[in-house]
Amino acid sequence: MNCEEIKIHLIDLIDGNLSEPLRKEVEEGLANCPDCQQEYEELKMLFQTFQNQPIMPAPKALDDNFYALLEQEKLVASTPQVKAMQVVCDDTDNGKETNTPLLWGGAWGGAIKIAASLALLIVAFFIGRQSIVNQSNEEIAILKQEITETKNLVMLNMLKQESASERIKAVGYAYDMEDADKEMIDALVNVMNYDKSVNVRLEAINALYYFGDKKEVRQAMTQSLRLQTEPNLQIALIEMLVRLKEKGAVNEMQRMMKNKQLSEIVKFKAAEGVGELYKL
Amino acid sequence: MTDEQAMQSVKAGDLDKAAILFERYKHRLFNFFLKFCGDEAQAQDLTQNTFYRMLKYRQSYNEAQPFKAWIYQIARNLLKDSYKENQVKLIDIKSARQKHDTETEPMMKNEREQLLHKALKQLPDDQREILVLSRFEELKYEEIGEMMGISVANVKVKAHRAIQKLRELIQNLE
Repeated sequence: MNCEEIKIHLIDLIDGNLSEPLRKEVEEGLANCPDCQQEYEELKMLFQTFQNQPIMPAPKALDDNFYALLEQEKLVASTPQVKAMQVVCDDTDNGKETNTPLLWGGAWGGAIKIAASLALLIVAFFIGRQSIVNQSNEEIAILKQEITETKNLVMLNMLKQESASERIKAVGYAYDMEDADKEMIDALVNVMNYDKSVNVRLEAINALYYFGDKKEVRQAMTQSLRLQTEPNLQIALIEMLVRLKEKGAVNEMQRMMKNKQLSEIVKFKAAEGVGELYKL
Repeated sequence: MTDEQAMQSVKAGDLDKAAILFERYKHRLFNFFLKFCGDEAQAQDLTQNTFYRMLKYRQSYNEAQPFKAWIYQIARNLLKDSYKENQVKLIDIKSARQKHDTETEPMMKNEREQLLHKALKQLPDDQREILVLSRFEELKYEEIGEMMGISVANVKVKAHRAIQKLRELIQNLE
């Protein structure tokens, strides 16, 4: 083997890509050629330099963004789509139970079941539409209703998540809702009063404010004044009740004004709130 | 669970398995982009977009395909797009790269590493890419071939040429 031939195989020799007989041949040739040896050493050093490159850890923000994205994608996937419809359609045609929900699993199981039945409904709707055009408006209204219910269910499931950021996100879905049913309100009130994270509780207060036109929401917020221990949550509640012009909160705020255990700023805010509500 | 099994589960709707792939590949992809654009913020954006596409285009994943080749294919496309879209920005990237280099220079352990980086920069884009993939990212020639749509033999020829070219450049710099 001459120099040229040896040099062709040097990279493969270092990478361990040569067959046994060829490797022996190249190694023998290498032993007899100082020039080839030098090139061999240079290449080895070069590859080592490549391998010794420090790996920069990916920034933390990447994690946060990815996991937020993943949740979003899961939500999209759990709402009925054409694909889901087709699967359900095929399986019912064959007269067998669908296995699809099993693939989704976990906390989403319940939501998926609803989504699947909703998908069936949509399929039925599209089949029906061809013959009964007149009824379509009514059907659409029903569908809209069903979709809202599915969304609500997803949100209720999400509120059970372990991580606070997940629960905050779940609470945030309330802003997309046109209206909230009693179950949803109860869930949000429960979070406002009892969630272990202050931030999640605050987010729930913000979300409830959004449904402040409901009497039961304003009442729940008033009652919550007594339950909250964090000054910033107490202040947030007072401010929102004032903005919602909830006169029923006056008594509770007066009680707060006199409560020695509360911080000065909270008492001041309560007094201010009472003043504002009296003006109305 | 192999990468391929995880991606197959993601494709079938078990999206939580995407987290496994993210954890396995986030550092390497970030470093891959960093080597090309030298700018951490941009490398982060591109890494993020790679995983975004992984989720969005999960249905296009073919289980017979090695996951690594597939995800790097996405990464390469993004890199190309970002070059195409921002012809102007390229200049910024270059200056950012220089800036990044001067910042990290004291951190570079030895002269050889600096030489390597200088020489790499002088390589044509396609040669640099093949070296980054095969040597930094340690992808197999088969995986690179799969990704670029060329034969393994072809990848090998290209890689070997790139290495020889790099050696020449290093010798000139020395």
